[in-house]
Amino acid sequence: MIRNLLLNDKFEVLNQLPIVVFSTNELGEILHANSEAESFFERQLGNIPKSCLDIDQQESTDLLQTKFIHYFNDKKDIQDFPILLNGHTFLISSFDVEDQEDNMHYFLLKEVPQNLLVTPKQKIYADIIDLSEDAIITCDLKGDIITWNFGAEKIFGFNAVEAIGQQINKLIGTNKFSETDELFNTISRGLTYRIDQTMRINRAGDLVDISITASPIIDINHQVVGVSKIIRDISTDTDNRRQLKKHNENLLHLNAVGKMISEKLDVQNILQMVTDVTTKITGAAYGAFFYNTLNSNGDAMKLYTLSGASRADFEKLGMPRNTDLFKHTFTDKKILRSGDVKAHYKFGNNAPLNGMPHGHLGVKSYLSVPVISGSGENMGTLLFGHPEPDVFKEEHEDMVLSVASQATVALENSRLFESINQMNSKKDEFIALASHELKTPLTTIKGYLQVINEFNESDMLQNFLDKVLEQVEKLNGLISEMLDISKIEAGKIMLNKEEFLLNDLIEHTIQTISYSQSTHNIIFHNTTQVSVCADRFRMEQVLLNLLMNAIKYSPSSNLVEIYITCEKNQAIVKVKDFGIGIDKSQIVNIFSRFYRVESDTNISGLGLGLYLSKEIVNRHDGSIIVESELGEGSEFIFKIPIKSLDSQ
Amino acid sequence: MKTIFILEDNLAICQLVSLLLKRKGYDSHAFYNVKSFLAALNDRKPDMMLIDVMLPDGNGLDLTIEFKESDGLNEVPILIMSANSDCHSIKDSYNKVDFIAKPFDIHVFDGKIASLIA
Repeated sequence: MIRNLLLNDKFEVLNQLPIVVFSTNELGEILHANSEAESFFERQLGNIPKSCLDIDQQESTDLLQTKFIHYFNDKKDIQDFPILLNGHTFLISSFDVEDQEDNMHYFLLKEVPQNLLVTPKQKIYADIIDLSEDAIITCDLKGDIITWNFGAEKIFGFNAVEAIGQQINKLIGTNKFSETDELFNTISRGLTYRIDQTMRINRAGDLVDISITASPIIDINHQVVGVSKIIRDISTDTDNRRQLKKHNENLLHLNAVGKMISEKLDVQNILQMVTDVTTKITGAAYGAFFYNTLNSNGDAMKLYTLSGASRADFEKLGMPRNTDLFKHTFTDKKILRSGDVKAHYKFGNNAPLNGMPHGHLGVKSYLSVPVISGSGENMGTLLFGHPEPDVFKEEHEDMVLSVASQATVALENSRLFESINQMNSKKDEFIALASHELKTPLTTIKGYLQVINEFNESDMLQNFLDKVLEQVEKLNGLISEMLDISKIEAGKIMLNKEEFLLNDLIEHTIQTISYSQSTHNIIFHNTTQVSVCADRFRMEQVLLNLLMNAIKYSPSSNLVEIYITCEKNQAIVKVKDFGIGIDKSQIVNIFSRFYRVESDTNISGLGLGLYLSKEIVNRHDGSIIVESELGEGSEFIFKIPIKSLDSQ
Repeated sequence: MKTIFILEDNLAICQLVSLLLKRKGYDSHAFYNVKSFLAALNDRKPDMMLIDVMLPDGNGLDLTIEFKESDGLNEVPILIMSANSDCHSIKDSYNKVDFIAKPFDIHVFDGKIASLIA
């Protein structure tokens, strides 16, 4: 009605109206005020204000300005917005005039009695709610939606008309995410309930990351009658947090793999670990590591490990062919990352297959990273694939490179380790061969010397021959020791165990020694009969070694004693001399390989005898120790278990 | 006169062993490889065989096992000689087989020959 009046005769009708009407331009400057308005402004403010923004005197001025801005910019009508002037509340409303000549905006003000429906404060709250970016929703205790603000519309897509009256769980809840009993229970006890991170579904059916703060609505009788919820869209936060979490996980992976691969020396193991980890952190469906290596014939070959695909699936594809796609990384050592390799401008259609071979694993996303050693050598290539496009990102390249660089160190160590192992076994082979070859001429030398000895009748010649034969024996002993050591080292000493009386072996050994020396008297305290299950030949070596050492290291004595006892299923043999003894500081080393007591340069030997004896005793599940006093003599004691053949 | 076949690829050892056997009154024939040794066995069965282990065209231990498990030659005594003393355990597996480690004492050698051929 007002509109029509104004249209007919703007100013006349305006002036006649018993209500406050004024008009502004787009900047809010007051252009016209009717007579009622003039007297109202005079009465309230003492003059007619310049701008409509000056008519409010309460703290809600900012809100009024916002209202005006909304009105001018977005054509959002103002309806009964409360303003306060000199203690009285007035409601201001806008109305449009379709006037092509001027762009005037009209407002009318009416006074509201204080006891009327809406108090200004409540109205302010209503507007705060209306303008909030957050969804502010109130429900009753059954979950029926009572209010639904503009923020809720923005987040969930439903408008207030659609939402109000609906069950909140039915509208935005899912099976997995909905308002819980716990929420309602907490609220009905009058407490606030907060969920930092959850999800609800929007109108389009997509999940939205949100946080919820729910507070109880309490009526005048202190009864909880509903719940008000402030729901915030946290999808940006959540994305960031997810990213952070992923980065953290990846860091953990990187650390773990770094630690693990540096502990391993087995190439296959390292390759598998690197493949698994890089496949995981890139999110690839399949990963493979092609490792350049040489086989035992020195031919170049590629070892490979897989993750995410069965070996059978992979085997039918064969080795990566020499196409430009693979050459790029395998030969030119460059990273290649493609969101859809089949559509790649350069590599999607290379000869000879012009595309992906039939039966190939589904791969769209493709990433290949060269694994380059510290010295710049191309050690291999990591390949990743995924059936979905655009899976691999730049950060994945960095992470794979980081793992790969750690792996190269481990792989280089492992190569060194393997080459040392190879050299070591070559050394063992060499020693075996060398000792065999050395013994062949020795056989002839010894044989002919003995034949000469048979024909000889000269005492002088006899003396010489004895000396030479003795040295031949020594040389033979050294060669045997050397061979035995290399066998022990390689774990190739075979024990031929049999049951025999250890006492007999000791007597036999003493007899053998007595043929070759006459300086010392060996006394055997043959008190206990002890039967053992052992390698007779190797045990004889131990006894010979201990007795010969006892003689060798007691040049100014003429006595060696040997004892045998049995204790707790152990045969215990003690060889006691009265020689130079061993310094305490040297005892720890005496069973080491090539160790010789330093002070006695006059006494020959390679220093392998005790090491060999210890190894032999150890192989019999026994132990050997020494007790010695410098200048008094030494006692070497070894123990081996008494066993029957049956228990072997 | 008892005949002993020698299978040994080292000429010097062959000569030494032949001398040792001759001085004890044995007739000996030396062969330097498995092929010629087997060819000779086709013509004549010796009273004893003296066999080295590492040979250019075979292994003396395998040969011994073959002879001992065949009908024709299983009764012929065999003395195995090797620089590798690990081979000694074969003497326990078969009748009339003994082992002597190189380099050997000629008196021990004489003794082993005598007891095997007796």
